[in-house]
Amino acid sequence: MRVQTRVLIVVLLVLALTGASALSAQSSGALTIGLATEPVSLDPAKGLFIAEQWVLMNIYDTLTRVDQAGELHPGLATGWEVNDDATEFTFTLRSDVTFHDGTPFNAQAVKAYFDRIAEAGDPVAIATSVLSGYVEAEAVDDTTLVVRFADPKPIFLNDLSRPWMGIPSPAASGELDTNPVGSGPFVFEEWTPQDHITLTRNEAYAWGPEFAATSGAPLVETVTFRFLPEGATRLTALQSGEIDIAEEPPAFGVQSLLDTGMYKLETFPAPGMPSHMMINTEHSPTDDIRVRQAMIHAVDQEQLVQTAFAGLQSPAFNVLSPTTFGYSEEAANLYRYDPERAAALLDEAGWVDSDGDGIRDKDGQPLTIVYPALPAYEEAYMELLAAYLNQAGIAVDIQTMDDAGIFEFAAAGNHHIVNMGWTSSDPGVLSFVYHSSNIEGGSAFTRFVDPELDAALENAATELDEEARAALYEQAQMIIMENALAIPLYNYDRVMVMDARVEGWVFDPEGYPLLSQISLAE
Amino acid sequence: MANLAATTAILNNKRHPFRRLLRQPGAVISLLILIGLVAATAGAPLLASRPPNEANPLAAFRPPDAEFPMGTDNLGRDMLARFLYGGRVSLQIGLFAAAIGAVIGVTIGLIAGYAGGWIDSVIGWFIEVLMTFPGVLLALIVVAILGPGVVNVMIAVGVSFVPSFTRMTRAAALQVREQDYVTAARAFGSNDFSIIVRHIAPNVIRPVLALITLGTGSAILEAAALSFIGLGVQPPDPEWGAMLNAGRAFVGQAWWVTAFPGLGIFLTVLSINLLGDALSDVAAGTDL
Amino acid sequence: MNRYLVRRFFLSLLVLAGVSVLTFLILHLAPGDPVYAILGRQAASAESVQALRASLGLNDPLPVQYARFLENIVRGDLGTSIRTDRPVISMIAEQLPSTIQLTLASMAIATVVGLFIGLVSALNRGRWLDRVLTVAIIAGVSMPTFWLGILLILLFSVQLRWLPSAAPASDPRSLILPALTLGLAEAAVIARIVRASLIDVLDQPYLMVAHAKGLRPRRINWRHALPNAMIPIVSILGLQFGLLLSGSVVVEALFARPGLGRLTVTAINSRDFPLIQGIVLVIAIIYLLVNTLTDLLYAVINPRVRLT
Repeated sequence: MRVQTRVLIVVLLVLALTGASALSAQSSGALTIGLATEPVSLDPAKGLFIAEQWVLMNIYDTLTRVDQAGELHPGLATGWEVNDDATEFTFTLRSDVTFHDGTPFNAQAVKAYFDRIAEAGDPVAIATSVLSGYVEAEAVDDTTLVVRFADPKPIFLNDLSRPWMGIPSPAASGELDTNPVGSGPFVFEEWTPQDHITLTRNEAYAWGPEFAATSGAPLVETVTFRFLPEGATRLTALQSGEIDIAEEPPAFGVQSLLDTGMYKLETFPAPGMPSHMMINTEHSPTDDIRVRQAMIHAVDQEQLVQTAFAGLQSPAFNVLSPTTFGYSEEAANLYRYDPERAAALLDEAGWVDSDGDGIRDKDGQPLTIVYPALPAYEEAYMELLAAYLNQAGIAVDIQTMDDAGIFEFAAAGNHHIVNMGWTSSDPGVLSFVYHSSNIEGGSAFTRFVDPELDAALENAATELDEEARAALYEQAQMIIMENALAIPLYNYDRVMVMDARVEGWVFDPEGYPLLSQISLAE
Repeated sequence: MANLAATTAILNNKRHPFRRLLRQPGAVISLLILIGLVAATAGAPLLASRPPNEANPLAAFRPPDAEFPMGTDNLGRDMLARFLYGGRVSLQIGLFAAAIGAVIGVTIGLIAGYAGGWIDSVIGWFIEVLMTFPGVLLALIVVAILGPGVVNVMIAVGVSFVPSFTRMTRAAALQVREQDYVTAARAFGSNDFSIIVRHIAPNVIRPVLALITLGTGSAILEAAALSFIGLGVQPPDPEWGAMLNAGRAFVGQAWWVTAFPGLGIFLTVLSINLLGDALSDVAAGTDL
Repeated sequence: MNRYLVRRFFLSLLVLAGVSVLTFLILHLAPGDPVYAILGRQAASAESVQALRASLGLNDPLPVQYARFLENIVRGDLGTSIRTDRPVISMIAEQLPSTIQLTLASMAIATVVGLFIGLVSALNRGRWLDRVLTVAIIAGVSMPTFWLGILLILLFSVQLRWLPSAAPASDPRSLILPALTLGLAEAAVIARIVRASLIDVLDQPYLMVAHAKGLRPRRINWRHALPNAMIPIVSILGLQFGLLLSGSVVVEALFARPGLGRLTVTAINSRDFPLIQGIVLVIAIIYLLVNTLTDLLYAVINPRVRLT
C-alpha cells in the first residue's frame, strides 16, 4: 500500500511537471530574443554600449520620441518651447504617468535624473555628452520643467529621445545597475548574468508614442533577452525554437533558414559612421596620399559584402552612411574599385615589385602595412580585406587583438589601418574620430591635422540652422575622403532573423523595434 | 593537461628494451600515420597546387571535387593547401611546446631532486603555485602579454606543461640520488653537474620521452583550443584549431571546412597517444 | 592528522601568496589598457579617457595598487569590477554554481563510463574486447573537446532536435550536452587508470590466495579487486575537479552557458584586473581545498598511506 502511494505521488509529480511545461510552451505571449552582447548596466545614466539600448528603451520612457522618418513627437513631454539661441528648453509634462514602483512621474523626477547625470559626470556615458553644458533644470510645477544650458544645443530635443535619456524612478536610483525602475511598457523582472534578462508587461501602460500601432500595454506578456555571444549558437537556438528572434545572425546560415518559409528577415540601414578603416597618415608608407588613395581603389566593397556577409550588409563608400543627416553623395562618389588606378598610383609613388614576389617595394623595403584586428567584430572580412590589398601588391600584417589591446595599440599610433564605426542618429560622432584634439589619448587614429576640418566639425555642433549644419558636415566628409583618410567598407545594416510568427515589427530611428507593438501569431 | 598528469601517474621507469615497441601493431600503424602526416605537411609546397592564403571570392564554398580535393572555404581558398600548411603549424606547435615544457621541467626537476633541502622546497613551492594557477588562465595571460602568434602559443602551452615534467623528473632523481653508485661517485669527488648528467639524467630519459610524446598530443589540442577562443595563430595563416573555429559559422552549409581540420587534429593526436601509450607500456614493462 | 592539517594550511597560505603576486605582476606588466577595454568600440574624446583612468585609480604606482588589493582581501573584500562597477565577490558567486554543476555532472558521467569501460577492459585483458576498448579510450582522449561539442550539437540539437543547444540555465536539459562533452574525454582518462590499476591489483598475491581458497572470480573482483582499484581514481577525480576552470572555458563558450569560464575570458579581454585577481584566488582556494580533501580521503580508504 505504501509503495503504491509513493508510486502514485511520483506519477502525479511527473504529470504535473510535464503538464506545466506543456502549458508554458503553448502560451504565445512569451517573446525570446537572442542578443549577441550582454548589457553591462541597466542604469541609463551609465549607458554606453549598443547592447543596452534595446533593453533600456523597453523599461524607460523618454521625454521626446522620434519616428522612423526622423520626425519629432511627444513622449513624456506633451509639448515644449525653445528660446532663440537654443539654450533654454521649457517642457510641458504628462500628468498621468506612474513609474513601475508606483512613484508618480513629474518634473521633479526629470530634474533629479538630469542633476544626477551632471553630478556623476561619468566621462564615457552617452547621457553625460547629451547634457554637456548643462546649467540647471527647474521644476516650475509638477508638469512644467525648464532646462538651461551654457551653449546652444541644436539637437537636444532629438537627443532626448535616445534610450539613455529614459527617465528612471527617483525612488529607485542607486541600484538601477541591476534593478532598473522606469515607466516604460515593460517592467524589469530578473537578470541572471551571462544567461538572460526577463521583462514583464506593464499592464497600466497607456502613454506609448502616438505614431505606434498601440500606445497601450504591450501585446506580449513577457520578453526574455538571452545572451548568446556566438552567431552560430543564436542560429541553432532559433532553429530549435529556443528563441524567436536572433540579432546579427551569421550571414551564411540565413538563406537556408529563409528558404524553409518558417523565418523572415528584417534589415535596417543604421545611420552614423559605417564600418571603415582609418588610415594612419603619420607613418610611411601611408603618409603618402597616393598610397592611401591606392588602398581605397584596391578594395571592392560590392564583392566584399557578398563574400563576407552574403549580401546582408550594404557596401559603404563614405564615412557617413546614406541614412545619416548631412550625408554627402559627392564624397561617396570619389572612389570606386579600380585595380588599375590603384596600380598606377602606387607606381607613381615609387612602389614597384622589383623582385617579382608579388609585393611592391621601394629602396629595398617591401610595401607592408600593419593591421591590428579585433576578430570579434572583424572576423568576417579581415582576411578578405588583406587579400584585396595583397592583389594591389601591398603586404598586410594582420595582428589580432582583444578590445583592450587594440585601442592601446592604435592610440599609440602603431597601426597603418584600424577599423572604426559608430551607429548614431547624429553625424556629430565624426568629431570624436576626426577632430585633431582627439589624436593624443583619444580615437582620432588617422592622426590627421587640418584646421579646416576641425573648424567644420566644431561649428556644425553648435549651428542652429539645419541647412548650414548639413553643409558643414558635407564639407567635413569631403575633406576626409579627398585626403584619403578612410577605406569605407560596409554600412552597419541591422539584421534580424526571426520566426515568421513575429508580427508588428517596426524599427525605431536607431534600428531597434518597440517591443510593445510586437505579437506572436498562433 | 589532464591526460598528461594522469599518464604521469601510471608511468614508472623500469628498464625495458624499445624493440618491444615495434611488436605492437597499434604502435606501428600510428607510427606510419604520423610519418605520413609529417611527410605530407612537410611537402606542402609540392603537394598543394595553390598558396594557402590565396582568396578567390568567386569560388567560395566549393564542395570537394577533383580540382579542390578538400573543397574551398568562405573566401574560396583551397582547403587542401590550408590543411597541409595548417598541419605543419599544428605539428610544430605540438612538438616545440612539449619540448619547451620538457627542457624547463626536466632541468628544474633534476635540480630539485638532486639538491634537496631548501632549493627543493622553493622549487616545490613554485611548482605548486604554477599548478594552482589554472592552466587555461596561464595560457590566456601569456598570450595576452606576448600577443597571439605561433611562437607565443608554443611558449604559453609549453609553460603549462612544466609542472608535470618537473614533478616526474624530481621523483626519479630523488630515487636515484640515494643509490649506492651515486654515493660512490660523490665519494670519488665527482662534481654535482657530472653526477646529474652522467648518473641521474639517463634514468629519467625514458619516462620523459613517453611524456613528451603524450605532451605533443596534448599540446596540439591545447593550441587548437587557444585558437578556438581566438588567441592562437594569426589569420590568414592556417592552423587546424583556427580553421576549425573559423569554419564553425558555416558548419550547416559547408561541412568540409570543419571536418578536415577536425579530423587532422583527431588523427594526429590519436596516433601520438597510441604511440605514447605503447612507449609507456614498454617503459613500464606491462606489455599487452 | 591535526599536524598535517596545520602544516597544510600554512603551506596553502604560502602558495596563495605566490599566486596572488604572480597574477598581479603578470596583469600589470601586460599590455592592454582597461580604459580602452571599457570604451570598447565606442570612440571617446581624449579628455574622457584621462578622466576615466584617474577615476579607476590606474595612475597609482604598482605597489600602491597591490597594497590596496591586499588590504581589501584581509577585510574579505575582493574589490569592485572595473567593467561593471559591481562587487567582484558577488559576480563570482553568481557564476560559480553553474560551473560547479557542470563539473560535477561531467565527473559523474566520467566516473560511471570510465569505471565501466576500465573494468570490462581489465577483466578481458589481452582479448579483442580489451584491445577495441583501449583504442576507444585513447580515441576519447585524443578528441578535441570543442570538436566533440560541435558534433554533439549537430547531432542532438540540429538533426535529431532532442536536446537544446543553448537552453537557459534554469532548464535542466541545458546541462546534458555540455556535461557529455566534458565528461567523455574525462571518462577516457579514468578508464585508463582503472584498467591499469585493476590489472595491477589482480596480480597481487592476496588475490592469488583468494583464488587458491576457491572463491569465485566474480566475488573476488567485486570484494577485493575493485575497492583497491578505486584508490587511484580518488586522486584523479580530485585532480579533475581542480581543473574545473580549464574545461569550462571552451565548453561554456560553445554552449552559451553561464559560468566562471566565460566570466574569465570576458575579464581578461576587458583587462578587468580586480575580477581576474578574484577569479584566480577563488579557483586557487578551491584547488587547494579539493587537493587537501583528496589526500584525506586517500588516507581513509588506503590505510597504508599516512599523512604527515
